[in-house]
Amino acid sequence: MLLLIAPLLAALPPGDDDWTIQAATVHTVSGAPIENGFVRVQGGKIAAVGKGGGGATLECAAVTPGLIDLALGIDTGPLSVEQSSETAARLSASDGLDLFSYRWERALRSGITTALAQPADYDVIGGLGLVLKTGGAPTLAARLVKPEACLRGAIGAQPSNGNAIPRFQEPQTFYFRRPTTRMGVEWVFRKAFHDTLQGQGEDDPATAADHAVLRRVLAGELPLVVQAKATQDVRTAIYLKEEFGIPRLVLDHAIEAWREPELLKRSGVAVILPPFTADGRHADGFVNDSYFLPLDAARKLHEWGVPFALSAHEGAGAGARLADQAAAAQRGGLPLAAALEAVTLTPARLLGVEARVGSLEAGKDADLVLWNGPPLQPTSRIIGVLLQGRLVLDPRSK
Amino acid sequence: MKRLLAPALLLAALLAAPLPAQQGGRLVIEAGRIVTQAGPDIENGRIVIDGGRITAVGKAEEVEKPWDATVIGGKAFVAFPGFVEAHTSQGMDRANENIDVAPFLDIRDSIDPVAYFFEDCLRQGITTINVQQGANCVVGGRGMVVRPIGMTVEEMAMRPLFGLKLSTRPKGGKSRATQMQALRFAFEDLRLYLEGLVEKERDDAGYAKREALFQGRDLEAEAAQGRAMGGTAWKVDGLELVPRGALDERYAPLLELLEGRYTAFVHCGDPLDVVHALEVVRAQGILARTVLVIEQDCWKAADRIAEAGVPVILEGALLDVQRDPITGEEVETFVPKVLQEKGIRFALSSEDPNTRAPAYQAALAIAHGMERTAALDAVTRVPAEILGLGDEVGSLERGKLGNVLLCSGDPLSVTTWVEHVVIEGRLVYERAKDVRNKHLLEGVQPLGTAPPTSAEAGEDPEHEHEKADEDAGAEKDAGDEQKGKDEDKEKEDGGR
Amino acid sequence: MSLALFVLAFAPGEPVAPREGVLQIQAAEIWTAGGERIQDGLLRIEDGRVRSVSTGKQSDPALPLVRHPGVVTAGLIGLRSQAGVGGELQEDTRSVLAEARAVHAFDPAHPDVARALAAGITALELAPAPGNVVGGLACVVKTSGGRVLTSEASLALSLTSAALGRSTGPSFFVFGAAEVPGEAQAQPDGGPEWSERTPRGNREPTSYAGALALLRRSFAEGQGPFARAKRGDLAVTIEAWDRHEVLRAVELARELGLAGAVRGAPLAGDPAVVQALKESKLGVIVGPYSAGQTRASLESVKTLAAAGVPVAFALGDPARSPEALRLSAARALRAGAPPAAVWKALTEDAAKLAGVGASLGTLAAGREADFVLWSGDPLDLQSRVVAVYVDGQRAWPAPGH
Repeated sequence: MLLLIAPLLAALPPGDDDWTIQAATVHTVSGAPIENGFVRVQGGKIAAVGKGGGGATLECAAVTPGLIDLALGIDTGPLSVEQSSETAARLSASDGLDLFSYRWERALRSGITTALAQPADYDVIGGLGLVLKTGGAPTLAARLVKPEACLRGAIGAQPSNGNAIPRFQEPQTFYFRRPTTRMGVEWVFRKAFHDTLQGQGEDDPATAADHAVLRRVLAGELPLVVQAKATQDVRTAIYLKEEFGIPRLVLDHAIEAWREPELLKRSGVAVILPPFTADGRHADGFVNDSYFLPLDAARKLHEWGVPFALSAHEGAGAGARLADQAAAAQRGGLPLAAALEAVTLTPARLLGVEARVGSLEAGKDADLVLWNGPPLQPTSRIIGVLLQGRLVLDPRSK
Repeated sequence: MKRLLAPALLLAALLAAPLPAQQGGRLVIEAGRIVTQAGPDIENGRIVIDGGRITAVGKAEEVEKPWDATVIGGKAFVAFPGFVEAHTSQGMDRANENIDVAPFLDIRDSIDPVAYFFEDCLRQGITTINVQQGANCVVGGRGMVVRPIGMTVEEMAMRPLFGLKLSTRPKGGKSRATQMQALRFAFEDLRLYLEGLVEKERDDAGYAKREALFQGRDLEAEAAQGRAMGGTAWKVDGLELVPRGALDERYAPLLELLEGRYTAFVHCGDPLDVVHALEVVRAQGILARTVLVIEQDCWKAADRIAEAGVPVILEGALLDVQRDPITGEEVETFVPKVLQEKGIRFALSSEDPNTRAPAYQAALAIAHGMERTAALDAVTRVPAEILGLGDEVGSLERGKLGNVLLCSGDPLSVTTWVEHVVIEGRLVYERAKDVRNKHLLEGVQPLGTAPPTSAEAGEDPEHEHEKADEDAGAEKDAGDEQKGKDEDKEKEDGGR
Repeated sequence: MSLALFVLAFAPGEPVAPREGVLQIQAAEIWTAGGERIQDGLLRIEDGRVRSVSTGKQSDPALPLVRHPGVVTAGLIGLRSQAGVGGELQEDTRSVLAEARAVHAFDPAHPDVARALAAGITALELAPAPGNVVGGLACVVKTSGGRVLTSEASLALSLTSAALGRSTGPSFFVFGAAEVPGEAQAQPDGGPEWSERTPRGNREPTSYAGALALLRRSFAEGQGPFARAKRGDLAVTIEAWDRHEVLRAVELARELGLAGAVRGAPLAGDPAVVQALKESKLGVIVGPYSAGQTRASLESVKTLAAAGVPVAFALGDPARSPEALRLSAARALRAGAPPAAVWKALTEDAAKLAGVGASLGTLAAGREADFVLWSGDPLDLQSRVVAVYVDGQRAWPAPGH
């Protein structure tokens, strides 16, 4: 009845990290599900996956790869992003992380073993994001999967929130100078890329450093992950992608991406969907508007061939977690295999970490989620989590 | 108001049109599987409803199909009893009254038959709903059990004047001490009032008698009524002298509560509220007719609840997530599991928007280790029993009301939909014709069917009034302010 | 002359040839460097400095002698004191103020300074408040006589949210600046750490990343105190509260080669934090501990001491609690810290972390003669201060009283 995840770090004595997990169904994600299969874990890696197998040290109804959330939102809020300028591409979310936050353990408990950490969306271009494990020693070195995994930006109302044009007075704060509308936000975006292409203003070392990052985006080395909630934001982001030839664009929090099938298909963007809500509506929170996310949005993207990931945005309660989003997507008509992929392999691929995480294959990190029934169903629950071979949620404890 | 009514009328028209069997007619429901919640499931079953009640349930080959009955369903469907909502404060004009002690209020005056909530209930398969005043009170008004159909409250009503709301959770602006003081004083005030009545009666000895004789009424019968007055915990000497009709209607309902006429629904926000609630209902002698409406935190008082033997309705989240203030670690507790282990009878409720659908709540309970039948009972049989409707709803049995859901599959599967809803033998909902569901599912929005805003959904009716009356300047400002607050709330709820 | 009169009055039986600046203290116990306790010790003072500390009763009959039946120790050092500065340690106009000197806010005649003295504190460190990323230079002053030991004791840096997104002026003039985080949001009790702080001031930087970038730039440009800190000539103190802030501070110090201390850090006892601190050249300035301090926080002194990380206690506002140092120490003791480590934290390590370890903190030959006569063990809260000497002169009770 009580589930205490406190002693995560010292879950088991060292040397006890070799496991054979036997499950009625092994969902490898990379291949077909294996009935009555096993996963063997050695030295923090997956040693073997196959059918049958004996000598199980852990048993469960189903095993899946550890879940991946690209919009976990564990940041230090406004302190994670430098707001004294609209663009801060050179700065990294790694400088603003709180790895001691209890919210990492909450994520781990809900099956999320890998997450993208990004600056909060108070700037137009907020800075670099990094991929981390959600558990382990609370140091960057211990948890890092990929530093500089993406560049984070935001289109829409949020980056212009709180800014204003001064009346009857001199501008006193940098909030006055920043964009106040969606038009202004888009302008800042375009200016950043335009100046990068022109090499303008690079006498200033900060600008030069910003441009160096933007060049990596333009070269396709870094994906650009952009918050684009409303239809107009989705369209703006895609127009920018096409205008500047940004090879890898991911639309985050894309509530209304489903309204633009042709643009999505044409531009080759990927999408991160926000959590589903009871009435489909998402209030903007910054302007007086709300956007609509139908239950079948994921099914639509799937059918159109648009790569997409699901996210829980740090939902904590029952019915609000990442696995619950995958269940909701199935209610909207998404097949189980696609739902599973949207919380494992697809997000891994979007950030280029699929060689380490995202599926159950020999050689990958032993990040596993153990279920007491068919995965991603409301009648099932996560009863065990392995993170790099360490049992951080023990299915045997009551 | 126009914006609200148009879709509601549209839906009502859609739903009203196809009624194949009006009440009194016969309806046959066929299903590949019938989950009766009163014994084993029936494969290839048939349900016959006549005059609003189930007259037969069984295997298709064993149940005769009346020749004149309309037949719905088929092998692809799973039949299931309509869900029972044990307690809600939705579907009404403002849920809370600012008078602390207001047992004289009747929820009948607040229920809004065209509220989005009732429409959504049909979509989720909820066919019986106990509507009670909100928890922001000391003693609230009397509630009502309704079915989510009908254009008037009378059409909806199953049990008018049902239940009385009390709360030990401090009302807004009150401390715990003043809340408890106000609650105790409500009963003390009643006693003082009754004593005053008796005193007056004694001073005016003979007046009532003379008046009755003059009016030609049967004084003895009235006196007998008077003698029956009073609860079990305390009595007022000489109350038998007072004719029942002399009671002020402001006080009468509270006395009726003590006499056992109403079930007391006592809202508890945290474990301490549970302790206080039990203390109060024991002191007033109404423990046997008490139901605690609890938030998730109250599981900590489970031993006290079990000891008192009262049933509970879990209104908060199913999963209680709390942070230890010292260590900073989070502890999760699945509340229904605790209640079950302590042997407490409990019903789940749909107040938490994340887990609104009763089927979904039952599914979560199963995920956390509850038996399937017990989990489903918590949204069917148990709430029916708590409402005293155990013989009417909550399972598919001969003699009970014909409230049946036809689902596209197992009611607990995430891909299952409620396809048809039958209430008392009337087909009142068909998913194929539910345009709003099509919108929620696919984003296709036929003109005039946008989901209502939170204001229109009944959460903020003040705003609604203001919209209808654009000229009321001051009121409009107040409304805008309220709207801003709502948006803030949504922002919080909606996360980042 | 008054000193001589006092001594005569104190030890009337001794034959005395009064001489300026020379004094002998004979005590039941003298605490000296490294935790050594000399029974029946003799402390010789000459020209405001310790000449010798020895055992035995061989006092020089030619010199004035004070007999003390209790304990004599070096004076306590109050770090991060706000005594006598009138709340003027926070300069809001800029985030980087490397040359701002706390000494200019110091009023030696302020009653708070006298209060600190009476509590056995002989030196105070006054440092710029943590509201700026680079606050300026801390000073160390004596609590009697107003002498400034150094006006460049250390460079105060801050990597806490208090330094981020502040306003340069009163918030009602600044759009959106209503929610400026203040020191009140420090959570020294080690409770829930991460809270939704929303800096909306108009001052750069607003973020941890921005603060780090600013510091890296400042140190790279290498002017004045930055250059000296990088060379190792000037200690730094880095304000850091939450555990992640402490790790960020440690990482910055490692990157730039800085030595000194982290200040704040209620949960410095966390294993990951202790490990990082151990590998760094930084000490920790903790406290002042309140009555409601959590155990995890109180135990950090024990943990840090066991790991060999220098620890000292902050004094805070002596007007409110001149005994804060000894109270903090007592709370750490009760949470299991060894007495020797706690005593070191009050004196030797405090001097070291304040950047004055060479002249203050212990009673050893050549050190400044700041010492306290206690009625008993100074770590026992029942012991009281009998007399305080600063620069070899009796400072409390004031001569003549």
